[in-house]
Amino acid sequence: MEIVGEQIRGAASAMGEDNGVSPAERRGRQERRTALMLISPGVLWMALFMVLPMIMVVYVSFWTQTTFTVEPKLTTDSWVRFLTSSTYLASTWTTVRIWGIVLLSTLLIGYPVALFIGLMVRNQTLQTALLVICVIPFWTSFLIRVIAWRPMLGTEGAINMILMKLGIIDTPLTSLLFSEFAVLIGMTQIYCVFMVGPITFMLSRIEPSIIEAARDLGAGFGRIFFKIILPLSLPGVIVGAIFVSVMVLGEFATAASLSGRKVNLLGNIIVSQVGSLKWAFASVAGVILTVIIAVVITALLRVVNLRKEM
Amino acid sequence: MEARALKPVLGVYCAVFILFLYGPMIILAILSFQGPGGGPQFPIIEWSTYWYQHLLGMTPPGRISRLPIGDSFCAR
Repeated sequence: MEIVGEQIRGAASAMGEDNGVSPAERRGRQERRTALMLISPGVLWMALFMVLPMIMVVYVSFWTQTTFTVEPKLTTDSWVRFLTSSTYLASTWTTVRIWGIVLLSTLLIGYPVALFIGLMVRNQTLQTALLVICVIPFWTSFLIRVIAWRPMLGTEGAINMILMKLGIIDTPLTSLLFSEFAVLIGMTQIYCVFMVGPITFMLSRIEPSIIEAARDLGAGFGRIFFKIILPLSLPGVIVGAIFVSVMVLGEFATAASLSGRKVNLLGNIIVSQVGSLKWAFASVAGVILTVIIAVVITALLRVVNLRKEM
Repeated sequence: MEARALKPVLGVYCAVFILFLYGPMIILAILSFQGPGGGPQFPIIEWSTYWYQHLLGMTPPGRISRLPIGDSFCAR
């Protein structure tokens, strides 16, 4: 077979381009050309607008920074400054910590909601309606959704007013707003839906007969949940976790607006450094943030094989 | 059966979750009826549609930037 193929190919090359090529080979070549044409716009776009800027950011992070200018003279000064300063290392840790807490809270708060919408509600129309209801708060600007937490959590805000009316507290709680708690609450509210959506999608695809069969065989709800529902919804959890992780790790507006500048994430450092024209230093923070996000996504993708499961 | 009791519990939880999502916007909507002297906080000093009129330019201009726009068009 192989020898015959070789002979044909040899003969084809000897006879010239067009007339000697077998139809299968011609089709294969055509398909390869089509695939190349289909993939090239994406590759070109990614190369020009993602890979090239990323390489540039890494490059700029080694430039020499003076007060008002940045010069293409290579130095590791910005890196040394970042890695030896307790302020910046602390903010890196804050970013990772807040990401962890928000990821956990969106999962814990969102999963039961997804369980209800995806599994308990079997009416398709109602399912869609509930998901749309969850999405409607997103029809307004991101900043308005963040700032809307201020009259909610403030000293003269809604929560304090309700708690005082109910007689639970005498003096308003001042620790609600402009604290890490406010940032966590705000982020959880904003990003929870990105966790609920994919999990609901995966849960609604579970065949009801599987759960029925498990119940017929005498499995309790806990066993059904941990043996069937949770493993089958895991790809949804991972997709949701990737959405939430990417957005929370790059976040700066919620932290700036709700913490009263007490919580400084890497995103806030990038914003303030760019604002004061410290491009090299902002690039260092950017590279570190990119590395963190890459590590997180790689780790999440290791948990399940999304290509196989979806 | 546990699962049967679970459905209403999760339904109530889902309603609370939706309230959590809508809460800040509901509060903003309520506070948008605050009177001209009040800010974005409770209590509501006086209920009014002042800020909606303000948005449509139907309120008298403020003291600080009182520009004679109408006059500037008429006077030559």
